[in-house]
Amino acid sequence: MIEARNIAFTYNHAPFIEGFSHVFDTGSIATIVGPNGCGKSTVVKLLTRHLKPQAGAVLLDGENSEHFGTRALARKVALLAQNTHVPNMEVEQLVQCGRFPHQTFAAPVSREDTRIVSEALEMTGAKPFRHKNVKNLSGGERQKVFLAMALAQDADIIVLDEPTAYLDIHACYDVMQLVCRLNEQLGKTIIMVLHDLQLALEYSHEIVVMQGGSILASGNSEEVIASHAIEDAFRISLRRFWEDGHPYYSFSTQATAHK
Amino acid sequence: MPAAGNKHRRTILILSGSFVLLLVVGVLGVCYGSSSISPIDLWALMAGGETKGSAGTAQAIIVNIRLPRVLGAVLAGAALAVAGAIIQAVLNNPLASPNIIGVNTGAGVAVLITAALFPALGYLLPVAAFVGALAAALIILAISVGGGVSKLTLVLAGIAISTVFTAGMNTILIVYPDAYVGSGTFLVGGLSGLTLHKLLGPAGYIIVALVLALFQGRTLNIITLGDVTAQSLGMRVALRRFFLIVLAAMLAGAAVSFAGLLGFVGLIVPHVVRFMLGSDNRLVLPASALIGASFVTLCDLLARVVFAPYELPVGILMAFIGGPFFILLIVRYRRSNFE
Repeated sequence: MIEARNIAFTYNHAPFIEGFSHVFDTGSIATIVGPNGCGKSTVVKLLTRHLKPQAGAVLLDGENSEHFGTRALARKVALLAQNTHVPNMEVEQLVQCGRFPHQTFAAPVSREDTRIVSEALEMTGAKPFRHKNVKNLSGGERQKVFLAMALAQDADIIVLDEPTAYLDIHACYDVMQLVCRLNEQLGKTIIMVLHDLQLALEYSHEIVVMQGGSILASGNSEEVIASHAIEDAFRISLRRFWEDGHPYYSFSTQATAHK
Repeated sequence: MPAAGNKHRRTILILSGSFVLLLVVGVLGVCYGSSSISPIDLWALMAGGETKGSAGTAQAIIVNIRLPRVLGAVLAGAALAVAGAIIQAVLNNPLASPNIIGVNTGAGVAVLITAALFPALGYLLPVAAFVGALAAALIILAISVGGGVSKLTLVLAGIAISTVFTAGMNTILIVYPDAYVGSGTFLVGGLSGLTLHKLLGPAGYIIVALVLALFQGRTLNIITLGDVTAQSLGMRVALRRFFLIVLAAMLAGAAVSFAGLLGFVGLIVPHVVRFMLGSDNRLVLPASALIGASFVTLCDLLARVVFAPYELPVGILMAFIGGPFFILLIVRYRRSNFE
């Protein structure tokens, strides 16, 4: 379980994140949504200790994440950052990098490392192109490979900052279905930042709506829609309709319906 | 599986081939020069054969001149090539190398200052070279880590730093013309006049740094993923980067302290290795050591025999090869995704 307890963060002496408290349940898919500049990526960096909160704490299984060593933290939380640098290396080599927090200095690659890397490649569907250079892959394939690396990291919590950015619609759904498989089959806790509200509402167990550095509302898609938090945060109107028992959402910039 | 098997075989073949190449050029380097003996005669001498008369002279040449020179070429080549591979990975810049970004000239200016001000403390030269190399590397690292600097800008900054250090070296040599015996060769890089005694100290630094460096392949692979990913994989990035730069400075500084400003080894060799073996630094580092050693030994041999009885400092020959190679790299990366 990962919990943000009353965290605050300041950029250039101006409060940016204030009083952010939330418990991300073990084994769930939680998605943080909000308009540009509301602090989503900053929260991700605070949760993964890439930034240090000026007040409050991030707790991992009840313990302050500051108390974890760098490698110990990496064994608990994996981050797939936004705009990740695309390295000039083979897919399999990149996925092997995920084993870093489990390896000691100068120790050779163990059988367990090899097995886990192989399973990660299999699970993410990246095995067929494991000998290709990452630079030569499509955007969707690259995301799968980075997810395979995060999977090889063997952390219980995987944090994804905009995993569908710059992907075409097919690749977006491919990546989201993979995320669901990691959650359902391997029990990974997934925390995502998404700009695509359709994907967020469709694939998340819980949605956290942010505005101005704090949480406006949180809950499952039903609760969040009922609260009108998405409409308020994005200044849009949201309409849900059903077809074959499946919910679809439409958004428009007309005045919000509930006001 | 067959693809992986082929790749594995190819890797073993290239690494063992590089080792054999080093042995061959090493033997040739010992045998040939302004006066030559055949490898068979060398074998006879090594086996404790005749040492009187001309054979005695040959043995003296081998032990006192050729052997230190070949060992120097091997050590300098391995050190500079591995330093180049480390610097390119740490700065994530394929154009970076010890001579391009001013590490060699930083070491050079420190060597000349020490030689001019403390002429009796020759044993301090490798330490001074390390300090100079480290200072230059840290300046470049600070510019690089500050962010917002393109790869080409970083190279230009390195060239500017290198120019300042070169001006410093020339100033020292004008004020203290006798500061360094063979300063002309030092400025272009050369191995003539090297003795086992002079080589002993730097060899120690290089061997220690090489052993440590060869275990850094995995770390370098992670660093090339970028700071955020490296940190999320459990790496203390700033600390590791500093350690790697210290290693590179140790290697380049120690090489410069006896071989002078040998250029382009650290640029050319890692590129050739990556072309043959791919970019996995666990392979790039040992292969760079082997091929860098072979490359400098071969160039030094050619510099001795091509214009015999005259002899070129090896650095001149390497500049003839390295300059066009550098231009080729710039053109290639400008065409692709250099920025």
